[in-house]
Amino acid sequence: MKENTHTLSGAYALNALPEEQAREFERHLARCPDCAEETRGLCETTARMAAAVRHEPPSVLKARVMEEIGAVRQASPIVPATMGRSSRPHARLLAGRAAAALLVAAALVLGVLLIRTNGQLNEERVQGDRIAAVLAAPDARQVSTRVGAATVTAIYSPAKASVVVVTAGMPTAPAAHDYQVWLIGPDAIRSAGLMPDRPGPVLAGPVHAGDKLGITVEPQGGSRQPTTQPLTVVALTS
Amino acid sequence: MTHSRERDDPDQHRTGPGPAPPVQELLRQSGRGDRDAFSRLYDQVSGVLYGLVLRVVRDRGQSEEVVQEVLLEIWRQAPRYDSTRGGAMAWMTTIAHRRAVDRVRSAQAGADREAAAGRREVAGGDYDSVAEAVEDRLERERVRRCLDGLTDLQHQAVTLAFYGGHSYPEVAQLLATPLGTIKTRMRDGLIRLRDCLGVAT
Repeated sequence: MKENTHTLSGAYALNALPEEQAREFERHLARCPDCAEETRGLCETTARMAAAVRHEPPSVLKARVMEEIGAVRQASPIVPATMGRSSRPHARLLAGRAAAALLVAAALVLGVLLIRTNGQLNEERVQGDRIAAVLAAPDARQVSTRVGAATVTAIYSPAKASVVVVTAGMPTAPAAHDYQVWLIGPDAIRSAGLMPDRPGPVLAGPVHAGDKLGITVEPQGGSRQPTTQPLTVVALTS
Repeated sequence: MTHSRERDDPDQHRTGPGPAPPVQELLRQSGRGDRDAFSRLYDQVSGVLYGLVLRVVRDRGQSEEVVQEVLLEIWRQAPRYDSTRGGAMAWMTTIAHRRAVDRVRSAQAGADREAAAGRREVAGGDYDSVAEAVEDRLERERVRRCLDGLTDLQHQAVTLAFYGGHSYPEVAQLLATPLGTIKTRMRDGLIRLRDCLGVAT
């Protein structure tokens, strides 16, 4: 870890970093599990500082908030079920030649992104741009694998060190559980986030050379390390 | 994580008759559009969020506006809360603190705030004597006791940033101390506070 950047964890947890430095530190966190762990603990600590100055707001505030949420659209990590409309979309993915399947996957992902960018956050657009960049990368290659009746498709760009994961026909995770995506390296297993409840692209990275992609069922909210055998492990060949 | 801490966990505060669902579960349900869950989430967290915003912004009217924005933001973003990246209370606190700081860093609000700040200390007491639950008072005392265990520079750096809403270059300026020192004191101060409070990570 870069010691200099690492020492920003306190200022970050106190929300005392200027915007640009805060974003830079977040990028650093994605690459530094030790820093992420420490920062998480320091953020829990500042939450305790907040709890120590609890002060009940005027009671009229609740009615206002509850009324207003009716007019606020919730952000969604969940993708409209574009893939679910065709009865067996995965059949097309599997049947086609790799290039054709890649185009189908790209179209599904991009179609979904177009729907989602409508009036939504920068953050989501940035994420969408990153996904599009992986799909459009000249070195993007695709691996599909079956998990029971479902299909898991990984589109991997070594140049972007990123992989986009799309599933079709996955059963809903068991009650109080989530599917979690992992990047499995020779030395460490890193969480790449939770799968949305309905089919949607998941962007995982940074991918290191030799990483494999795994999916496990984890208790709701995910785990730090896998606690069950992977449903599937996909080699990401460069 | 949240389930292992019990008494010391702000997520577990405010239990009514029978065990209330932890804040994380209410947030998750809210993320699925469950307004009843959000209503219960409001009951559990609005005091912490308002208290923090009020501490930073000082002005009650503005603080109400800010905390209302914060709660709507929490409703909007709830589907994106990822528990692998931190506790629910920490996630909501961060949203509230960012909004509060955005508000005080705008020039207009700054002028009003200076006037209000003149009537209060920057980082000291200011504990209102509203009826507070025993657990709240215990939490206040625990945090205050642990803050008292910091060195003066750590204490000032941490409280000016968090309760005062100042950026670390501003804190460095206020304390006439080099940037690098402030950065380090913020980190080692928070680490000492974390260990004193027994925060599980």
